[in-house]
Amino acid sequence: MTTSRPLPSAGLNRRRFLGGLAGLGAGAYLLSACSSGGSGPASSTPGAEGGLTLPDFAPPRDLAGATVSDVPGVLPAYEQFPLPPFKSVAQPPGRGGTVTSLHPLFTAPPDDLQGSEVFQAFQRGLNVTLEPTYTPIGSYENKLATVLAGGSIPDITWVNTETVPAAVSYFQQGAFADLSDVLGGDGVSAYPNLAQLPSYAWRNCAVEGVLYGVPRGIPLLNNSVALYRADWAAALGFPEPPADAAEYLELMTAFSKGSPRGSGQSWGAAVLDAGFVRQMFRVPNEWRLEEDGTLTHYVESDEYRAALEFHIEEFKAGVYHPDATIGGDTYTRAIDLLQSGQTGFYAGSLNAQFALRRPGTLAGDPGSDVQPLTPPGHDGGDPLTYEQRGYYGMAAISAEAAKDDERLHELLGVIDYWSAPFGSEEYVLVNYGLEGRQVTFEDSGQLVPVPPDQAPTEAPVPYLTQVRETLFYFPGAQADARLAQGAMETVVRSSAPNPVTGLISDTAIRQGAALGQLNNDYETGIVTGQRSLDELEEWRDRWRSGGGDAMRREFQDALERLDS
Amino acid sequence: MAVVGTAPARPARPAWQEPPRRITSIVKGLVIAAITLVMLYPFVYVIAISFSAADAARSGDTLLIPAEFSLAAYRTIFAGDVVTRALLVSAGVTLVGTLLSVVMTVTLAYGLTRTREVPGSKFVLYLVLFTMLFGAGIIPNYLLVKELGLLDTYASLILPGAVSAFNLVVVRNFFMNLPQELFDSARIDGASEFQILWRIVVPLSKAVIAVIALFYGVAYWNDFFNAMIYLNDSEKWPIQLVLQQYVLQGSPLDQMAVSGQVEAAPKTIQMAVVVVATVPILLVYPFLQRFFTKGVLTGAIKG
Repeated sequence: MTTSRPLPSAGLNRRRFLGGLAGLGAGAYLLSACSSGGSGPASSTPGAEGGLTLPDFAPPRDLAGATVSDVPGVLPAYEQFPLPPFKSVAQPPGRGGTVTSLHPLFTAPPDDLQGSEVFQAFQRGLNVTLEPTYTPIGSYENKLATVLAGGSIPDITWVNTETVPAAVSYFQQGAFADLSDVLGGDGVSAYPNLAQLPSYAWRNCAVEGVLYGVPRGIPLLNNSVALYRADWAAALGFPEPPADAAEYLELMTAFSKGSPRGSGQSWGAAVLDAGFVRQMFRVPNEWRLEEDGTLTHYVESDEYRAALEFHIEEFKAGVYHPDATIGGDTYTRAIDLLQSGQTGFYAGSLNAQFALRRPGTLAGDPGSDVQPLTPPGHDGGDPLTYEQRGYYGMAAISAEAAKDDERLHELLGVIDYWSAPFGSEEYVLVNYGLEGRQVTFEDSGQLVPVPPDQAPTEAPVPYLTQVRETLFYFPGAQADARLAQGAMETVVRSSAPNPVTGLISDTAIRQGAALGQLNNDYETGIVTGQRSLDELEEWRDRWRSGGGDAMRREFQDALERLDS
Repeated sequence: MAVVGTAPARPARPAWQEPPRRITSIVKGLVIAAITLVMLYPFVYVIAISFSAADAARSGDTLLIPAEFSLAAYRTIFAGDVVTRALLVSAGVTLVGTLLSVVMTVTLAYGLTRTREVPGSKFVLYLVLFTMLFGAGIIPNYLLVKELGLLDTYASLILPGAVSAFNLVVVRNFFMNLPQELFDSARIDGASEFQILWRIVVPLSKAVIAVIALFYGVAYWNDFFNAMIYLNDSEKWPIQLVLQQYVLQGSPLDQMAVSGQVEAAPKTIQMAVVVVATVPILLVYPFLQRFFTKGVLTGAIKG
């Protein structure tokens, strides 16, 4: 897990990002969205006051086995798959031509794209010849920069201002179409699947009040629920989850020192994960908007100092695995250590981590009981959980292609297909593959993925705006959907947004990565004892003079612009 | 007359000329062995993990030898065509690129040794040296490759780096230190410049040519950045780009990652790809080892 930072450095692994950047919160004008439900209808917002009219929200179908929470901002849970799947796209959106696209790649490159039956079925469904270009996510920033500089912008491009901070400049320079008028209000009704995307994702992906793309939605609170070994905890005398910081420390120390495995060393956590502790200590979600309209960065807050002191205590107590400070693929390492029964706590992204609860997931430990854990308030009160951006990149349409209204309509139709809702034929295709090859359906109403070693290895539908992270559905572990939803309900109640999401700071674009590294270095140094806590003031000064104050000014100016 | 006094004592040998004491030899041997182990262990570990069963690797039981031997990781990565095709691409690019680079470097270096006879050769030399100091940057290079119509072709992996200024300097220095009399006598015998290069210079420069061939070969084999920038078709990706996906991104082979499913590739698969990507180029070293020291020292130090 990485720690929070003002803007993530380029080239982040998606999972590492999703699993770690607790500090990238949702926008100030998100509050109204939450008040009407994270996936609920849009209402007027400060963003709208800045000229943005959000796409009108269309509720999803009422499906059997669905649980829609009455807590705003909580994702729907599905315990069964509707059979037969319904059609969400009445007519193929394409006109038989070619559509070029640029996608991030989080996996191995696709094997024989044109030979893939899944890909061919997708092209038939779209009625276009799709020419996707894949780029490793770690190199996406360079690829996007060169493609744009070369002037050969694909029709559809996945753009993420977190992975590529400079993308904000590309938007401002007119490389991509402004979709605000086309999709705003009831304009989105021409694309029924897009109308079902969570309002918070639309709101937060807007860049200073302008929609440049269709967001790929993820949970609004993606890093506030962790997992822990409840079976270890019970055996060590902690039948209930910790209620405050002291109990949390006791539990984590017991995981390290209490020999819960019987034989073999164990630890509390695999990596130095500051996000969970910060939420316990109510540290600002990256920035805090004070009553006088000024912004306070989390590093400057008293709450952060308290969290840091606690983190030091944890480290001294031996909570962390010896490799906790080593970089590299911390995500894989953390999962490996949990699965091999060496650690008892894991904090990842909300949806994906529930797979670790599945029976048999933990090697050689069939009796393991992995349960969700939400951060307690350090003093027994409420924590401050972090609303995040609620989207991971967006599908932007090149300004050149959008000059032709019919072409723009066609491309939005293609993205609409990509965003097919849960329960639809198209959802199965874009998220799983083909029935009989990658999935089967049980009469009881369950979708069953064919095990990877039995399914044909063929290229899937490229990563773009699939909606599977905007709902809870776990094939093979249906009950987990409600469990995850319940955990999310708990953390949403004490959540707060990052007031600067969607705002532009040139300094953040230029210096964000460097300042993030500065914070990371100081934090790791102080927690591990290589630096003294007394250096916190020096750290704050360096952060302010290194661009922090400039970022603050620029964000405050942007907030004033929106207010006016 | 009798000589008074004793015979002069043999001057004492410096300490480093004394035969080493046994204990010293043992200590040296131990230190060298320790250093060797430290250097070798990561390789052994990577190989051991790649041949381990996934659970054994995850549990940390595999350190030097696989706790539970398994070929599953290799079966997995060779199940599709991705790794096999990428290996072939890398091998092809490395072979063609190295050959082309060596030819271009040797011919250019030879031409640049004849600064008196070839007009403008000094200017060309400075142009080449300029690239050692200032790089054009990613975007200008991309635009150049695009304008040349090389995007999405294997040529884009070779031509932009076909001549390395460093290698050129090494080879030119080597050539300049060859005896000039050989060239003069060849000219008197009527040899053309090409014949001189092919029949005299190249045979005398096998060591340095082998070294730069190795440099070029390793560079082509290890390069992933050009492929990432210039190739749109992922079926043309070389092995290093595939390796990057597996290891740095922790990516699985199975692209049909199911919603909510853990997507991390088992460590065994990551390490198997590392082995597959490393072994071919390692195999080249033993064949060039005998040239290596001589070639580098001769080319780099003589001036």
